[in-house]
Amino acid sequence: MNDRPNTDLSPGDEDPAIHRALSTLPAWTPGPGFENRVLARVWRPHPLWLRRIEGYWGELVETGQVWLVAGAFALGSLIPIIALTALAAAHTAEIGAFVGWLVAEGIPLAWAATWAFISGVVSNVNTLASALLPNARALLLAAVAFLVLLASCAWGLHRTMSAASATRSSLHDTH
Amino acid sequence: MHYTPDLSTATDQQVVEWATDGAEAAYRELLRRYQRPVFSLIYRMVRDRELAEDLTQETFVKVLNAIDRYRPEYKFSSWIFKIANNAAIDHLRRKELDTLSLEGRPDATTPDRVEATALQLGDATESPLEELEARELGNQIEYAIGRLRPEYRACIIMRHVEGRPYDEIAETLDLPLGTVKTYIHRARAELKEMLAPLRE
Repeated sequence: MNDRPNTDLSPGDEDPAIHRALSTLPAWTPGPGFENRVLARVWRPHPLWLRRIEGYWGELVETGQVWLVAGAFALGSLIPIIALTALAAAHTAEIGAFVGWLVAEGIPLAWAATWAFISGVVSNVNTLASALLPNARALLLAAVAFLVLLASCAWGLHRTMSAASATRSSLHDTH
Repeated sequence: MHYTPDLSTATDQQVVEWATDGAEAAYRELLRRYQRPVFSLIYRMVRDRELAEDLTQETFVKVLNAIDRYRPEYKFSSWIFKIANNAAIDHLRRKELDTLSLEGRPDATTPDRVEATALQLGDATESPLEELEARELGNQIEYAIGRLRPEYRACIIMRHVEGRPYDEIAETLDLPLGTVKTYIHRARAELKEMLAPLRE
């Protein structure tokens, strides 16, 4: 595409001087960011597999078969519920015993384990804070240094971006 | 998930096929291939960089948004050039700008507007003298093209600047092949006449 295709010129057909002169004319390029500006306004189609599903769904809606499919799905989702209910009805004694154990022992056991974990974390944080407390001044200095470094980075980034924007604008102007 | 092999070596039809599957890389490839020729065509037709960029953008948006309606039995280049040419011709008809000046559009009233609408000519060549000569020749040709009727202008640009064959130009402009040949013949005769002083 970048090369000019064969122009099927014949010596008697063209004026060579004019053809030569015309073929020297430059090709121009739109300004920077042209591609992105175009693509921002272009709606890209969904992938083929998704369009097939959409097409199939559209067909179902058009032909009215969508209600049939929806009904089948609704009935299909009832199957596991019915199965679970039947299972529970057949094992009421076992389920009752399990619920009884859960209330009497399971829940207090889980609560005790959670409480022990939280107590352990709090205790460890206390120990760590006690160890660092004598170096509070050093910690403060480190925090200040970190903040200064962060501000310097932000300022540097701002300067760099401003310079880049200015260069881009001047390039655009010269086109 | 898109399977997009080496786009740079693919035909236009293949790239369009991937584009219809939603592959952004394929869209970018079509833009990469055609932004220069389409922009150059429109720029030479309307002689205003800003406007040419807007019309080129409109052309691409129109083409890419209708990519799934592209019929592969036609050349993609014919399709996009047809839309680009129509955009430029429509604008010229609206503005009634049949003849254009190298020094800027006739309706340019401020120095900034004159500068914006004047063609930016000439690239670096081997020596200042050659650069001057090339610039002068380029200026004269651009000036001469700008004085042609819009239909002649479109034909001559597609034929000699873009190097398109006659049949593709006829397809692009919706004109009979004979008419295209006549337009190009007349355009060449007019250019020859206008450039005669330069060639003596």
